[in-house]
Amino acid sequence: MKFSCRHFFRILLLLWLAAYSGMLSAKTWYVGILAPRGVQAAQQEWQPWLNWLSTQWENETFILVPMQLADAEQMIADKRVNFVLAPQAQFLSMKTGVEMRWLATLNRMDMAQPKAAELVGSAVWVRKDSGLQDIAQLRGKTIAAVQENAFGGFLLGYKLLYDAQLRENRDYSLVFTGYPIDQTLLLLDRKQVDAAIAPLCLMEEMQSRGVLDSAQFQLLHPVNNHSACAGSTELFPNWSLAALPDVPDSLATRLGSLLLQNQADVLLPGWSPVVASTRVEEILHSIYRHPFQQSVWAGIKNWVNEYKTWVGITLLLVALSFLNYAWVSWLAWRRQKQITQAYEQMRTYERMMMHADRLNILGEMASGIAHEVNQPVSVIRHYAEGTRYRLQKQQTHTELIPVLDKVIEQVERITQIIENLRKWAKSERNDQSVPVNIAQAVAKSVQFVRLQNDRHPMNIHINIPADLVLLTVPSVIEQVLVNSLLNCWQQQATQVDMSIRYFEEPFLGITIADNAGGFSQEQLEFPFVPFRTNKDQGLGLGLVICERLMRVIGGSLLLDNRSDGIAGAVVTLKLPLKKHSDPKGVKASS
Amino acid sequence: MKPDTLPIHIVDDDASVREALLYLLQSLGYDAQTWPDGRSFLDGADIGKGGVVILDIRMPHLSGQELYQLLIEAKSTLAVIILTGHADVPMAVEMLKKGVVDFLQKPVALAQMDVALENALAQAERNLLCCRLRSLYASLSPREKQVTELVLQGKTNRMIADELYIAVRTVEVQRASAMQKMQVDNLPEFVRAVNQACMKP
Repeated sequence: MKFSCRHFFRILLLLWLAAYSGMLSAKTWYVGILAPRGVQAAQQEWQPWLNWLSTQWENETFILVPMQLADAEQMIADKRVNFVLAPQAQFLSMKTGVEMRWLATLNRMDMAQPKAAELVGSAVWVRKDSGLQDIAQLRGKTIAAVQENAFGGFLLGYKLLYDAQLRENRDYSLVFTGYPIDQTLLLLDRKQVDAAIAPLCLMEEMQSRGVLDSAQFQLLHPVNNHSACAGSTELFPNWSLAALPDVPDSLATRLGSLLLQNQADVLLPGWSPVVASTRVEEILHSIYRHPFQQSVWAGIKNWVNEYKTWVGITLLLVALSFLNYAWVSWLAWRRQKQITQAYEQMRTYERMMMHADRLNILGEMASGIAHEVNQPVSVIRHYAEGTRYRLQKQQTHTELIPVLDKVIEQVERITQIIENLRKWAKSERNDQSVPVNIAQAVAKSVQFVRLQNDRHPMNIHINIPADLVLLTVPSVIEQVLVNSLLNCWQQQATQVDMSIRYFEEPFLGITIADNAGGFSQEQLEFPFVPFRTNKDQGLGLGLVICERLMRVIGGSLLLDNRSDGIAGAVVTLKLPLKKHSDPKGVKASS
Repeated sequence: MKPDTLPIHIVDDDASVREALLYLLQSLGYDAQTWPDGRSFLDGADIGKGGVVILDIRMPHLSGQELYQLLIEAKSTLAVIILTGHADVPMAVEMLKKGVVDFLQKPVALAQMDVALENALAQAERNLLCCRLRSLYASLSPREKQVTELVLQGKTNRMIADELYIAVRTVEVQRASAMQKMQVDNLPEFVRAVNQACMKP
């Protein structure tokens, strides 16, 4: 008894093991079915067919996986489903990268009472009260659609807009509602959008459910089709079943032929051979939404992955060159700032020079005019006073005496005006003597002249001791130097030599010798005649002013021609040597 | 016309000014000679004869200053008035130091010119006198000059005789001769004349 009992258990275990191994060989297949109208509707519709399918194999089980359009792409990519049943057009616009074997196309379409999303097509709806009649009028409007990759719920409508030359963002804005697809029309109904791209038959279905009153809406771009639904585009009725790569060929083939053979059972959907998808591809191409067209970015990604090192190095080089560029830019900016600053300083100096020059010219002109006017005024005064004196002495025509007095009065007025003019001309000068390093003053003047005249290069050779310091008026020295150098330049000199000339105490000279031909005999005999010039635009006051400036500081300006065989002028600034308390002070010994 | 006046010269490069100045001077009762520049003045005028020169400063060839310098070097007895259109203080000071009578600025007033001319004429007279006395003094013999010098020191004839180791009589003769040559009659005039002659012009 004990033995038989044990035997019985052993047999039971074996049976169980056998049953278990049978269960192990059975396989579960997941069939992803697009469920545009929700999970329940999908289950209700497709569970019987899946049950039937499972009965056709002993060990294979088929499980319904309702898919939302948004998830479908990911689910396929993740291999969470083995079969897919969906509108073929829809899947062409997906970028899953997974190869699909299309097994059969569903031909169970009840054309008389189609349901939304069974037939693939778009209907573009607006509210009747909006008055919109044409696709082109949607410019500037907001349009609702299901999803960016929804074929009927967006792409077909998008093509209509595209063909009407309307471009996303530029001409209209889009609102994607996602699933459930009812949202598109509900937004339109609530006036949150101006138009809606709805999947075909959605309006009719919602009307029949009593959600919307279709009389309130207007279809744009109506196109005749063989269904009972109003649509704006052609229809793509092809729901097809596809096997994904992990389904063995034998199973796929058997399933295909099983579906095509079994046409008898009315309760089950009927199938026909796969319909070609050329037209869908054409449409996707025309609106640049075909998966292969969009793979450029993906291609770049792959390429980058493949050449990671090189891309890294290139990026590093780009970054380095950018840094380098930034560094160089900064250096350039800093240098430019320095140059600008130096230039500004030079400009200020130039302005000061110009100002001093203007005042000098004005002073010289005032004094020149005063002198010139003085002569005729003297003449008038002499005649008037002489005549008055005679009349008074001879006691004749004494009635003329007051007249002559008036003349004399006016002459005195003129004299006063001239006197004021002269005073002004003399007052505008700052004659503060300070220790001046002659070499530095010369260098400053030379630099100024060089900057002024870089067109015509003039070689200036300076031979002046660096430690020579004189107590004098720097602005005068610089102005006379600049004027003299500019004269050389204007006379087309190419070589100028500047040096120190030692006079008898207490004088010292700065000489400027050029090679521009020299002075004429007349110029040397009458050196400082105002308003005499050989330049077109000169006033003829340059040398006159320089001479006067030199006299003001107790020196003089000497003009001569070179005696060393070179045809050129020598201008000498003869400066008085004033004692200066600085121990470095005046150093004039040769 | 004042009959006994010395000649007056006007040196100015501006003809109108020359003429007007001449007219003014004539109104005041003087006569004058006009010269267009320093060179023609030096060539044409008798600068040894004495008189007054009214000089412009800014002139071609010779400036007023240079002309004046030449006059000084020539020991001229001419009294100089500077009449310039562009006077400045340093120049005026320098010229006055050198001995010009007046430094006037154009356009000059009649009264000013009158005063300046009177001063200048007086100066010219003095110059002439001085010049004459100096030439008289120059005609003295060395011994006469020796005696004259001691006379001016206030010494008596005897003291002079002792000092020079000569007879008192000789001193008297020399002294009388000197006074005669200097064209004076008494001691005070003699002292003044010799003093003027030895002064610088």
